[in-house]
Amino acid sequence: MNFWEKMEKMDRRWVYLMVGLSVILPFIFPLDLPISITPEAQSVFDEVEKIPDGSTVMLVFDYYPSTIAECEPMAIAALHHFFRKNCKVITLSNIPLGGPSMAEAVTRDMAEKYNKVYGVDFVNLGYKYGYVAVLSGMGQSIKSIFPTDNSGTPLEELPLMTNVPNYDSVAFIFEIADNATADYWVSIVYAQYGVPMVCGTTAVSAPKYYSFVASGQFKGLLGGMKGAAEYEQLVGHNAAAVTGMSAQSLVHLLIIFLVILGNISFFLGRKGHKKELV
Amino acid sequence: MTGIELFQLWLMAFVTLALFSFMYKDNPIYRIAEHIFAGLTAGYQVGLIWDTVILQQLWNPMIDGEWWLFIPGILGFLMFTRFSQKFSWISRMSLAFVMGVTAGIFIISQLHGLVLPQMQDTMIARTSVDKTVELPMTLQSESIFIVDSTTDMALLDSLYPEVKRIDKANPEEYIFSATYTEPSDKGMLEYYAPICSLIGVQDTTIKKEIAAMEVHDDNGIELTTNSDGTITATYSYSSFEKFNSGLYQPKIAVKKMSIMLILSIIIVIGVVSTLIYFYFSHEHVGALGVTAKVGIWFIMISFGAHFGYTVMGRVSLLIGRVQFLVEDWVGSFNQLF
Repeated sequence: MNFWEKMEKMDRRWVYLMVGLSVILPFIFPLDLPISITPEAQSVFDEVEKIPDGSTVMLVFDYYPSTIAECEPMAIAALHHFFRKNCKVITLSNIPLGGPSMAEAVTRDMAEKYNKVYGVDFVNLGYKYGYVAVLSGMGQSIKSIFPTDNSGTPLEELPLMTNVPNYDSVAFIFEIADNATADYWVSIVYAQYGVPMVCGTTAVSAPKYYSFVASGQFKGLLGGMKGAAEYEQLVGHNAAAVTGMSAQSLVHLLIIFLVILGNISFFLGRKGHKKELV
Repeated sequence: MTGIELFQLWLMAFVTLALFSFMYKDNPIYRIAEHIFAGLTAGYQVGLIWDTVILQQLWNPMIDGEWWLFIPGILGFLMFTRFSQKFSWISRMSLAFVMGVTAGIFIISQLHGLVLPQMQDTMIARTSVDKTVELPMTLQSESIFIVDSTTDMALLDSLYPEVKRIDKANPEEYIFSATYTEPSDKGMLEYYAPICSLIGVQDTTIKKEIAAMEVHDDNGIELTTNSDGTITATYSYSSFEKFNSGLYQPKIAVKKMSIMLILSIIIVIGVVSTLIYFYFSHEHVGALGVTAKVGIWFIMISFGAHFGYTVMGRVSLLIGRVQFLVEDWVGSFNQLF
């Protein structure tokens, strides 16, 4: 059995091991690989910069805990950006599993760093079942959909929410999603109420949303960990996404190498098989 | 780190490693972790919906006097008749209601929010901005002061007696208007588009700080060519809810746009040929077959882009878990050993 035949019959667990090592090693021996900024990520930064200081914004945590690695760095960077501009941040989630608690944990942690007060500078509305009804209903009255915040406090008792009856008082929406809820923010909220919005999404969903950026329905887009790393750089708070990009680049190189190796092995194997038949 | 937090951290690490163990081969530890995950997910979701829907949106408002909510409550309860063969037909009433409401909301939102804007964007020519230039302009609009309940009107009258006021709560229409001569350096696929802006003036006497705001892009601006060859751009604005109170000056600039003809053609060919590939009412031969084959190429390129992004996404998930194991879990060793 020659080298190429061995390659063709290689146990897949060797590939898992190589991928595992490529991910672990950059955390032990950091590589400082450059990260280029795409126009879509630059637009996200520019759009947030354009919001007048002190405006009310919505940050939507529409992602499951399974995609924290891609989505949470976007949320953290967005909160840095918003709190730095003294924006009032309303968080909510259309994801039952973990959405509201992730919004609570991340926002409170960031608010502490910027000395922001709950109820005055930020509010977590939590989760409500049925995103289509939720998104439509908030256009009429946020209070009718969320009578209380995530911890059960009535909205009348939160000073921030007394000035925000519906989308008319929201200057900007930052949607972070790992699923199709981003479509509904566009088709219901942007189309009917015209609130400017940007989207941070997982790499798997990103190709779909480029057309929304081209049509101007999203003003900018962050795609996966790469998008999160770009935004972290633009905001000036390099964190988990920038650190993770070294591992990401190394695994991509490994995958490209394995794809080339697999193809050579396949074509040489087919050639040998044809000779045998002759 | 408290004892409870340390226990949570180790439990998370155990479950992560238990799930990773499947990569070597199926084993009981992996199955335990998988079943715990499925059970927790179902239990959490039932509890959450009970609290946020049944209690918050049905039971509590009914107790507080909104008795008519018993109607959707009964409709929801009727869904359980599906468990009985004899009475399952009753659940169709609830389903019909859900379908009617969903169709009503979706038809409009999908058509106006997704289908039409995407179709429109496919058909208009792609453009790129070459440069934005400040031309000599005759501005016919005056500065404005946006007033809200916090504005000190006496101070405003003394500082800016002549400036037009616009009340945020009850705004009147404000018209931008400027006349300019378009530069002659544009090529065949180039044009100049105006940008209207309201620029906030920083005046700490009356208001702390006002950020510069670009009001609008090149959409909705009316252009009139005058008899002397000059162009007058007019734009009316009446939505001031998102503005901070303060003094604003109007400004109009122009940007030079290039029509990216080749990219626009590729997009139209891609969309049309891909749609034709999915037209199955006629055999794919002749011109239809060639177009469908072009469509397959576009579909394959799209799949390639999706595959690349999917690989990146899946690797990111692994990176997230490894980041947790290396930084948090291994980092906690010094607290134990």
